[in-house]
Amino acid sequence: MTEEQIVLWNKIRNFEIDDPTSSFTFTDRLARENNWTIEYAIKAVFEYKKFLFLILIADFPLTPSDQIDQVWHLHLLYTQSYWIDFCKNTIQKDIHHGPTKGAEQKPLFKDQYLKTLEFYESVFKKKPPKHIWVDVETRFKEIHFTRVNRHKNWIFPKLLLKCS
Amino acid sequence: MRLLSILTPAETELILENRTASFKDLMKLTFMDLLLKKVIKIVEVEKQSHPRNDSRVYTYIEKGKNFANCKPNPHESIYTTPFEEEDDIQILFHHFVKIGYEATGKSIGYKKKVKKTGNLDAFLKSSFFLNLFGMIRLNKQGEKTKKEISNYLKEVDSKINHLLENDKEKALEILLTIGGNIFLLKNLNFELLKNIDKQLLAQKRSESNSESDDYGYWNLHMDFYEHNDLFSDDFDNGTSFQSYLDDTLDSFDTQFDASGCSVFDSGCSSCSGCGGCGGCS
Repeated sequence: MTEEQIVLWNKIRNFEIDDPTSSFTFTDRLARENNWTIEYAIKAVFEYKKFLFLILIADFPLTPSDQIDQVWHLHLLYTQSYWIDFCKNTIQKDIHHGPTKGAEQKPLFKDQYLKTLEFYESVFKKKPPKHIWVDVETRFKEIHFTRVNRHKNWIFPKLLLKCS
Repeated sequence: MRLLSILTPAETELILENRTASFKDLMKLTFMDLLLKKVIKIVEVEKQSHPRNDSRVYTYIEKGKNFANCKPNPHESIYTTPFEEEDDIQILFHHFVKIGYEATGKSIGYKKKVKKTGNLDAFLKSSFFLNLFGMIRLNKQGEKTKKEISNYLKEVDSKINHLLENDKEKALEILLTIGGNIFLLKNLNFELLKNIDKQLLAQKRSESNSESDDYGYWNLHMDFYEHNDLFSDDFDNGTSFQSYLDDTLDSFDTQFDASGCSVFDSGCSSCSGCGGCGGCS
């Protein structure tokens, strides 16, 4: 990292998404909505910050893992935090989220995802953690998510049904 | 009392309170002990998202100077694993306590973790059913040890503040011997810990280093008395810090399950969702 990039990374790293006065913070909500532990959610937020940093220093398009994308989606809902506190006041640049236009873009995004993993490693000098940055096949295979009302439905993993 | 230099405060609490020991107390004692040993540390950072906004103080937990030297016990690892992957991650105090809360597996799970060190084996009854249900029952040796510990702590409690003012060497010797078990003392005035003579401490450290090559428990606690800033500033004494920790733990039992949202300024309508992210440029 250049000196300039270190300054930028520290700005992003020190940016606080959570409101310390709130008893139900951004990270609490992220963990609940994705059925993650709070520890996993914290790590996902940290990796999300790394991803945003990579976007800012890259001169090519990047694709996040689904986990990081979920953090991004939720952050976009916290409009004050995302657009004002982060984009305007912290990095002085707007980062827009680009949803996929359909299956025809899949090969492109696979390639972008692989390039993102490589870029991550070259910048941070370590491999992206596999539990957050999954391999490219898993990334584009396990993407069928549905919002389920758990007060009215039970959820059983497919694997469990196969075993029984 | 030699045994107290081996037992972590959570282990001691399990002997003293056994079946009635609360998992929140065990968690709290472990957390405080790790702070004391400087395995983790508290940092307070004032942040201002914009010059027009009020600044806020954020309380974080991060790796302490002894993190790398510490081999955490199973009941301590709930607080150390979050830092194993990332060197420079800071975790909000609220979240850090919640990580521990989630990882304990509530009462039975955490008591089992405390037992796993093996330090309590000689004091606890063991049977298939006790193990299965994670029940804690003292054997005869355990009952005897419980009385001894209880009496010793009462004795220390009755004289520690006086010693800290009048016989600092003796006080330091006792405090270093009982390690993190100082949190089981009810009368200790944490303010008086700041009076501990640094020269005396250096002497104790050189004595302990010449006796053993291990960077052990003893040394970890000594670090605290050398720079005992844990109870300064906002956490100005052990009692207020513990009540802060209690409040945070209690908040998880009554946490508001916020699923709503509010609208202000430009307002928002409804969200039509999106089909996943294809990246950005």
